[in-house]
Amino acid sequence: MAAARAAQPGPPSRDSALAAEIKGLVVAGRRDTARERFAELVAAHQRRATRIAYQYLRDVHDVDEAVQDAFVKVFAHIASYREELPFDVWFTRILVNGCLDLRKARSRRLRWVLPTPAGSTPPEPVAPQPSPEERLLASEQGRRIAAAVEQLPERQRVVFTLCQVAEQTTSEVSQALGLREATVRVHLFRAVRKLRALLERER
Amino acid sequence: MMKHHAHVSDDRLIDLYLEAFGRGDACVAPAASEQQHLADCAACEARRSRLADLLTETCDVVAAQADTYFTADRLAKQRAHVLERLEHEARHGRVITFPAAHGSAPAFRARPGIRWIAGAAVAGLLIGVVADHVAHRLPARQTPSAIVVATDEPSETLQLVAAPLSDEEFLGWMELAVEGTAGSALRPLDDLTPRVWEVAAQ
Repeated sequence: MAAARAAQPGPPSRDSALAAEIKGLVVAGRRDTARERFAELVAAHQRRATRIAYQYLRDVHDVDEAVQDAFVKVFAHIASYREELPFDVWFTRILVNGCLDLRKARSRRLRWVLPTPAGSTPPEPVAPQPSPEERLLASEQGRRIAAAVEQLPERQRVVFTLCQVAEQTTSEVSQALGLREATVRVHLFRAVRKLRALLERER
Repeated sequence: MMKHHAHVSDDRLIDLYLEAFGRGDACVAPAASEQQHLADCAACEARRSRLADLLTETCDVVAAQADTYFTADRLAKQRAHVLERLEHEARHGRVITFPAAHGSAPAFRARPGIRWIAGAAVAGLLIGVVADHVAHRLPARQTPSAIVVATDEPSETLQLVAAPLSDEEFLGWMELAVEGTAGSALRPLDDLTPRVWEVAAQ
């Protein structure tokens, strides 16, 4: 598996050091302190996690659930965390696997079970004024870019998100997705070429 | 006289962009001649600048797609939920699995009637598979008494069907039953059977 490949040389990141510390606390039986420290890791990674999960699931409730599950799994298995692997790579791998499982479960439910009527799901909270993100998405350029991103094949979209939005290196993405680094680069290049073709054609 | 180098390729420009942000582990750092060319060639510099703008803008939009829903408040609630679940796990020694424990409303809900119909269909299918399996294992000519002895023995497979299953396990069994090799003969029948939402839509 790609995750078993040699990890990046150099000192561990702050998050990797924190994860190792939490592992030590759990192993020592100090779970309450470990949970308190874990809250810091959650705070540091949850925005990035929601952005990644959104590219897989495109459903706010599912994204919320996938991200929560990933953090719970991470804590449950923190004793097996290997310090030589960057924490965000390990976490991303757990998150991505969780998203894939959730999507599989969703398609299974779609196959066999009736969806509930649209009115039964709680409405999204409405902000009194549009946020900067909403304004960006509502702009002409924002809409064009969102439409172009939507046209990318999923693998390209996810690789692009991990490299550009989650700011991971191509080596980290290869470990998180279980792909060869050369394959990650190919997906990334194709994604950029396609985005450019779609967006520059309209300019 | 100034040396003319070939223009920098598109892929190489992407490499250089990644390299500039420290994200291109496999990228080759720009050679001095390449840097010189980028400094001298207005066309290549313009391409590099356009690419950087495109990537930055796209990155902002992709991030905004999730950020627009996951506000700071919602992230704080999410964090609280995670910590509650961890606390719950510590108290009860196990994690309550989806979807029973959390506040978020499930997107889909089974109707009891439909579930019973589907359950009966799966039970029938499994019984058929077991019966077929038993029939193939038994010798071709068997005395009636031998058959009676065989059917008197408790069937583990039937007990499995009767065991209580969670929704996910239940649907997983249905998928396995339909997608397994034994179910392939029933595939044409399955294709002819309307889905529940198709019936509901009519």
